[in-house]
Amino acid sequence: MALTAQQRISLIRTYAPILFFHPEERFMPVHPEAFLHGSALWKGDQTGKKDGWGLGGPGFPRRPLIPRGGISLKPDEDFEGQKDPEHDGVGAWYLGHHDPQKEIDPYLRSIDAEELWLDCAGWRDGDDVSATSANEACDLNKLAALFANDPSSPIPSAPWYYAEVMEIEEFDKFFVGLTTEPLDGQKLLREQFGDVWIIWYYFLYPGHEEFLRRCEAFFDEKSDGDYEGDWNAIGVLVKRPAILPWETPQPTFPEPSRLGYGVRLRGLAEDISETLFRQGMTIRDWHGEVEKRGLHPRVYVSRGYHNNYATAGTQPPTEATLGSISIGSLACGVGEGASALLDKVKDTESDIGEAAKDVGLTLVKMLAGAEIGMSLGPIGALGGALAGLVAGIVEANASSADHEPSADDWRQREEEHAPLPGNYGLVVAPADVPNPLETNNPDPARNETAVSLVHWPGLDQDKLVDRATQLWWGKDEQFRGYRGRWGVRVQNDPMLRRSGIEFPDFRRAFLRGLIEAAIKG
Amino acid sequence: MYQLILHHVYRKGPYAIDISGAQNDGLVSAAGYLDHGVSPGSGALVFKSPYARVRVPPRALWQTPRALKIEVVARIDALGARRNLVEGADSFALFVDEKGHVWGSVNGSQYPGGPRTWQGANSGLDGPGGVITTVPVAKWVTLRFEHDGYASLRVYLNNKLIAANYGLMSGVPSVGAAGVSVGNWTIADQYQLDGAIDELKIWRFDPDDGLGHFLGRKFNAHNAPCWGKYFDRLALALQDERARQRVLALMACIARAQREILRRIRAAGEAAIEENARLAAEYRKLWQEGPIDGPKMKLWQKDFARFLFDTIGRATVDAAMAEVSVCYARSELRTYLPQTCDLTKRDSAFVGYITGFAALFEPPLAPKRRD
Repeated sequence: MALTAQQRISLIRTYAPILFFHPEERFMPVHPEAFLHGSALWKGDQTGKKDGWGLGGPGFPRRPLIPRGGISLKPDEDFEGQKDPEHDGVGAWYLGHHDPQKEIDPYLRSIDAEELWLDCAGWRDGDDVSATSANEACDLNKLAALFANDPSSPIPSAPWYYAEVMEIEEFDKFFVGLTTEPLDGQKLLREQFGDVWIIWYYFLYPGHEEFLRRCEAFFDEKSDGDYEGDWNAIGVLVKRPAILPWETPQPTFPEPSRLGYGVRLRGLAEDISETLFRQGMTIRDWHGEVEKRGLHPRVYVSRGYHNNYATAGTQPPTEATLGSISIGSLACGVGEGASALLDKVKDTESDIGEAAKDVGLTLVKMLAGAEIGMSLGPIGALGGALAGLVAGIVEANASSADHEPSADDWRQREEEHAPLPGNYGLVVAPADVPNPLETNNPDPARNETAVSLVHWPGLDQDKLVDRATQLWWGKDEQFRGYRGRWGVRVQNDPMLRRSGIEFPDFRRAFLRGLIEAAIKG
Repeated sequence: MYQLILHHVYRKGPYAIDISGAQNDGLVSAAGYLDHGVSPGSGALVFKSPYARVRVPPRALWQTPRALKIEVVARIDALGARRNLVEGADSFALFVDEKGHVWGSVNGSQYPGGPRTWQGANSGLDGPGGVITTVPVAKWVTLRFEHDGYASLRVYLNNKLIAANYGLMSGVPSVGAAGVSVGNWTIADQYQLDGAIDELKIWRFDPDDGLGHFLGRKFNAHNAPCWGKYFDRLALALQDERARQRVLALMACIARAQREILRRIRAAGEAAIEENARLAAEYRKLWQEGPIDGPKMKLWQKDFARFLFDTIGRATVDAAMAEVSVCYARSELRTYLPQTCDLTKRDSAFVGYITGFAALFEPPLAPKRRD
């Protein structure tokens, strides 16, 4: 029998995580409704160019489909901007509005030709989309000010999560495309874990901020990798006990079996993943690396990235097992435009073929060599260019000799910073964990401090995901949901590194991770 | 160089789940299962039926393997016929022939633009020093296939080289629509393996390795934006129709020269490949750690030039440089890619590095300078 809402709530409450943030973290997870209410809604076309954004024209300025403050999540406010129920000077547009003539939900459906995206804080050069506006980077400073956790901030914000419980019977649909047929994955998991629940905790951070090592030198508006609207999640796998907790007078909840820590994998080759980013889940055994207080996992959130980790401190790159992190596509944004174009060259120019990136690099070295040769006189442009050619061949030779990038190579390049052990910024804990910090250890060095400690506010029932009425949960076979991006689209972003992301497919990533973990034993 | 794209450790059930992260899962048909493979509890698929196979669909990842490495832990139970271990449709194959010789083959061109034909190395004819090796029957072995994408295809049995061909002229082509087949043929139920497979790993050439290495140097706030501009300029040129044609023509020319030089190094045999790997490792370290204009790099440049001239001949290097010189002059590149950043002021280490090469590789048949 399916779980009741009350049973789901009790499971969510039981396993709710404790989040530990870095002292310099600027964003905490916020309520999606607050983010939506504070955002405008835009659409763009497949070119991604600003002259196709929103309404207006021909030409500029462009304006959004729904102005900032106009998005309503209430069906009885389906006014298409004609009425202003909040009397704030902005009409209301119901996000779930249905256009009966076109038979579409214009504010939920997002396809290549009509891609939707939210705009919460505009661009670094302002809110306008005009002939002269750059629109090349989101404005994290403005976002941080909007969601500052103080009474004067424009958007009332407090740490928030949404949560839901999946039963094993609901798993089938997520295995389609994961393995070749739907049932095998479920069988695999059943064999490994028996009947299980997965309890999900979803977090929306207003902004994503990147601090890749060495990238300081390259950072500018065009290359920092920041974006608006950053989702992440935690999944808790619990074996369903023979006697359910609520069937006994003193409910006893079982310990989880596995934890799934949501991480955004970066820089994957485009032929592995359609987008540069891919959602991953790092699976950990509850009795292994997972730190906890009772049944509540301690989760360490990396600064700016908001990836989740089982341990505090500097973290190796996510996806270290896949030796294919494409530093060339990532690389602080340097050369990403050329990289994307060279990928196309690879597909169309048979003489250059799959060596396009190596050859492109040689060409850059030739160019540099030619200019050096010209400036230095005796070598001359040609001499310099040919020296650049040799340097390029040397580079290609170095990558063609037999070696595999070691985890250490990538680790050094892509370390992330979760808070250091014992030295935290914000700590957010469930109400039944009055003090999540270690403070009475006989060894003083093991005692922990935090800049601030708060409990998850609100009622547990208000945190329950309800896909039938909450329109923001993205792709789901059964329910309508907003499928667009959660932050501004930006210009000159060929790898879509700096445009907002869609709600990630956490569930599929977790199940894939569980299957792989089961295979690895 | 190599990038892991498939890793199967077989478990009971109809699916071979890839744990490499690349999601190259396979469908298992008609294969049995052993709880204990090469080691207790490791699990292995048993191929006894003529229909037994694991089929991996051909995803985009298989379209440009270029180089390929395969490692399979297998047990051959009977010879007497061709026994396929793994084959990529119209692309590559690792198998054992009826006499127990191990074959690695690719379906590539024997000259640029030529028709594709199956070629490779086998341990019956191509063993080092003429030594013939046959795979032991009913024993677990590790077989490895390595095609470097340029010239060499080598086959190893338990880490010992048993066959090599250094005369290939092309890389590993795209895998066809039938995908990758383990323990059977790609086209029909034929060449089935009589034995078991415990583990399979496949790597391809990592297309981002070179660029990643280049960007792994310690840049700073002074020179990094300058390099960013070089890449931006290349991107702009590739977007402009007139400039694009010029740039692509020059790139095709560079690609030919680059491929030929690297191919000839690898065609020079095992000793040259080994020495090249040593030099490449040293270069990577010097580039990453810097200074790239220091005495160690200067010494390395001399060593490399000597190695290159000794291995493939000065004439080959000169011919390649002459060809690119002509292409470069024709491209009128600097008209289309005007200077936007002065590296002599921004990156003096790179200037030293370039002048180091310029001193060793003077233009041999330089046409009249146009600049």
